[in-house]
Amino acid sequence: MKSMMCAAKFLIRLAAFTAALGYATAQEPAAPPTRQELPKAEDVLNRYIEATGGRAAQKNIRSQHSTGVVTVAGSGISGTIAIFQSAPDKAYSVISLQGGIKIEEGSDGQTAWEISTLQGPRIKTGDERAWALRDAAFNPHLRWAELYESAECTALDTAQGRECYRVVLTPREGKPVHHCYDRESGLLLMVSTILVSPMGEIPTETTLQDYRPVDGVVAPHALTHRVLTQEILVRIERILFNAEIPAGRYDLPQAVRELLKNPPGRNP
Amino acid sequence: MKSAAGTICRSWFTWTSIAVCLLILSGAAASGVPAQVPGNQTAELDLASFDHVWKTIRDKHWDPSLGGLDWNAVYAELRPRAAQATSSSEARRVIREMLARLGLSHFAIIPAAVYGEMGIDGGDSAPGGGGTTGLDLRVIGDEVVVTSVDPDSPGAAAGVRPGWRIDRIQDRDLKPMLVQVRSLYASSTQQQLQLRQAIQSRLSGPPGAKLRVTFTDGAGRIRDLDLFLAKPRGHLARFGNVAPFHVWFESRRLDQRFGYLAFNAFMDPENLMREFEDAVRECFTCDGILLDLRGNPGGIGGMGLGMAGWFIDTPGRSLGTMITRQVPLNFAVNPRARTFDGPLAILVDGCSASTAEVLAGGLRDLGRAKVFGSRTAGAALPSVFEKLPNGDGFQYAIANYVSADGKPLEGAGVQPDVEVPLTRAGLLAGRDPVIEAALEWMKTLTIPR
Repeated sequence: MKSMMCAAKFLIRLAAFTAALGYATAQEPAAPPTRQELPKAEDVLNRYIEATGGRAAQKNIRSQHSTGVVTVAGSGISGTIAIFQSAPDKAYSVISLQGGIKIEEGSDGQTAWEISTLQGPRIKTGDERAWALRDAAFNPHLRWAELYESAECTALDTAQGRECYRVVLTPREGKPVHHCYDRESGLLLMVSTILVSPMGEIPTETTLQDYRPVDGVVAPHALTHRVLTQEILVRIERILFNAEIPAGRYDLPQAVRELLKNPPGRNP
Repeated sequence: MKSAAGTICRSWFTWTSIAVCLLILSGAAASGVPAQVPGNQTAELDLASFDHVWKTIRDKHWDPSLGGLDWNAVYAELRPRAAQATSSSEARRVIREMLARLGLSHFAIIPAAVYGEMGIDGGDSAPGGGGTTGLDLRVIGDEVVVTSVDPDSPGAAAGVRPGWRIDRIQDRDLKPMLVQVRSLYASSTQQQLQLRQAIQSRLSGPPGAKLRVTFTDGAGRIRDLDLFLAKPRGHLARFGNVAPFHVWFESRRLDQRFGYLAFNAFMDPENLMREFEDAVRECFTCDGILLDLRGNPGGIGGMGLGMAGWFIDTPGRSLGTMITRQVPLNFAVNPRARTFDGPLAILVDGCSASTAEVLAGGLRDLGRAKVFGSRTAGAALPSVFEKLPNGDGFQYAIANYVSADGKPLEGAGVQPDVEVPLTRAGLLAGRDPVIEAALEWMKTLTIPR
């Protein structure tokens, strides 16, 4: 109830704010809002929660299993993706690309790992581990204060040709993550950050589209990831909430356990 | 509601891995044909080609500042000349002059006729078709020489032996083409690579097709042989828009205590990475490993990094750095839980390119391998070929690559620690002097295993 009231207050403020902006537009070119005129990040995040089904509906979801197809634009390469996630912090995903490239990633809440056909098993450390653990957190919008040190709405920006509020989420460890929430609908349109990995610091950007309801919760079904010169499209075909997750799905694979037991550089 | 959005945003590192994989594909991949301009007037097509080349460099070069070169001024100066060109060759000269202003290798314009001959574009003029004679070859001096014959291949069935000279294919003398390609790549480290590709293109066709090849054998006799092309050796690998490619892997012991690993391309990850892993694991107690990358044109860059992980046991080491338009990328090696720590010899030649060079150069620069053979192709960049509106080929690099020693590989290649030239006489005698040199080195090392 409290969250609904907050949301209502926020919507009223937002309505007044957008109406004022609309009036300004009719009179003269709109000046970008000052920091003081922007909504609070917490309000933008809460509005997103409401726009996608509400806090209560999301709290009822404890696991999910999604599947889809992946296409690397212009390369002729495609494949499938399957994602499993369970509250509070367990995750596993597998991407299988044509050509025999398979990349698995997972986290059991403590250890974040990757196994790829090309590189073999790897345990993530430092900023990369911190990112992976945050990424594995279930319902992170409900838990943003726990996952991030701060959240600040910094600008009225544009994404997918729409005005959106840029919210910068700064974690305790790692690079800030920029979200852009549709000014009108409240939905998340774009996420960008700099990924820190053994390859270096790599800027990435993801746009989220085709929001559709699934069991009372609204979810994006089309994502476009831009990394370096590549554009990778993900079309989510099925989302199952409170799905039955196969036993042992989040257990560390044998190759990862072996790495934990015998870290590289200690040949028997 | 990250339960949907957040979760689906997962795997960002995976996206990065995929992107990097694709970015460092072999330098010899042909890319799509740019949009054609309306009309078919030669002058219009030549001018459209000039514009396409200029825009491509502006938009895709890894260094947006082009090293301080005023690219707009270059356009303003040269475009009127391209517009006034009275023939395609004159327009081509102007485009080449524009590329020369960059002062970089691997930016080339290839005349349409030669582009087709070289079999790069996979278009109508490229024979291709998947059938093979099973012969590998190199140009030694002025001669096209068979360097190996696949077992159970049409070449083996016809009795062709390493060291035989190829004089004619389908009654066409090879010399004019050799002269053309040599001239085009006169100052390039890629000459051997391009010569081999041009000749192999003539030696390919649909499986079952008959190819008349004229050889000179070891005794100097002319041998006219009809070779019926067959399916190539290995697994048929498909990877996106790259033409389907047969990939083979070979693993055996030399003198019982040294491992010998060879494969023809960094493709077919599903099979090749498993075969490579099995072979290294079986050789953990070997007194040395010879990794033969001669003739290997590269492929999926991530495979080279993955293979390096079997020989580097310290986390945080990189084979080199790729400088893209956006960011520098470390070619970081992911060490395996157990690695091979004995001597490693890598065999290379002028047809070892791209990922093969990155792997050989990086492991050598990190002090992990000794390199034998001859200089590699110096084609370590993800350069691509495009067909221009006027039919010419356009080769350009989209990133720079610097090996672990801080030096660029592009246009320089990996200079072997031990230079071992290939000779026709040696091949005819059934010898492989590069393997012999590597074994000799390994035998001088006293390492208890």
